[in-house]
Amino acid sequence: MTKIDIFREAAFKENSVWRQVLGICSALAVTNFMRNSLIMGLGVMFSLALSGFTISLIRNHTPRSVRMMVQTLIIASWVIIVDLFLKAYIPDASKQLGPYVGLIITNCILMGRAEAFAAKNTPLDSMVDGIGAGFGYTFVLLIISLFREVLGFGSVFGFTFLGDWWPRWSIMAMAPSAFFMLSILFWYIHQKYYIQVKK
Amino acid sequence: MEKEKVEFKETRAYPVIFMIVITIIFVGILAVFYHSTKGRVEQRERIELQKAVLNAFNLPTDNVQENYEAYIKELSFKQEGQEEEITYYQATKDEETLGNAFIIFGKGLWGGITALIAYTPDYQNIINFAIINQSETPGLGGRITEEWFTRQFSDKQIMTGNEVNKFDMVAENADNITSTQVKQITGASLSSRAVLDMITNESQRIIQTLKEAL
Repeated sequence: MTKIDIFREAAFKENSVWRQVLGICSALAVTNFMRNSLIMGLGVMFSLALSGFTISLIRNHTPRSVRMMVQTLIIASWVIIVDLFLKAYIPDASKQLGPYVGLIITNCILMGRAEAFAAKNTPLDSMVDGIGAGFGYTFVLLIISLFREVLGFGSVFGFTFLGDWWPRWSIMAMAPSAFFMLSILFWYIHQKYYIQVKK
Repeated sequence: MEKEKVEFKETRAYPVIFMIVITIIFVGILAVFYHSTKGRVEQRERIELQKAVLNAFNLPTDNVQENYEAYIKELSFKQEGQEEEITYYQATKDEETLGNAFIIFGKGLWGGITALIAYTPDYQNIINFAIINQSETPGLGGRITEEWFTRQFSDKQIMTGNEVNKFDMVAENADNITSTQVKQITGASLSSRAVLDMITNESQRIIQTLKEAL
């Protein structure tokens, strides 16, 4: 498999959110603003790529009995580094995402990719897989947040373009709308790309 | 019978040693990264607080550090029987005291809220109020930091006689609100309530403590 194939497979064909139903908690929580979604997505992508690379690098020496502890340690370390980086260099984003950045550690996509890919493949391939999975995750977050922010706040990336004539749908800023949007997205993707292929 | 040679990787000690080594390596990396960003984070937090204090007294923030040194004095007092000192910020301009600002704490929906509140020198009115730290839901409770929300407390009377005033919440789009009413954030009534409770409870505590201490 070429690097591009690995990326495509991780990002779209086997997308962690719509195909494997992983990373749902954060997809529901941070998608009321596109800016938060983008930063969260980049944080996950960075953590996935680096943790995948590191886990793969030591895979031949990692004892099977403690492999999950090692993976958690590596993932947690990279996530803390992302958190510290945001605090030091992008403080506004850190303030907005404060409670969620730490939650990247518990994002199932990271453990999922570590077990399914990084533990069996080369470091470079694992890094590409991490970037792909992170890209796919960010893509989903941005699609959901685009609808939620436009309908809920009349803005895109914080820039208001819908005037006062638009009645802000406050439900779009709240958790229930994330469930609706995620379900609609799942249904659409599966109808268009998976169910028809089966037929 | 010849004893079979067991590779080190096959021994029971290997996973333990491996885990210890890998933990030391990663904790070391984290420690280095933490110390390399610590100074920057602390400096940013200090400037942010200074800016919030200047804003609390409607003082210019074009040159934060210079203006802070010119207008603000950091004072503290000790409550009887308490170990901890309470630090507050006093603003003076043209030899006239503008007021005193305090850092206050409250409990939000998901975690603690830290804010800054500035009172007039007689502690009868709030000059300004601002949120410093919070962990409410982004886009919902997180809107407690928005200026339209915090500015509602500016010039509000906090004391009537010896009693701290309590504020009532009204809908975000309400018209003609009274001086004891505050517009809540739509979809975040718990976070809005947390802010109101924090202002009332902390004002009560500060004024009571001042009475006892001074």
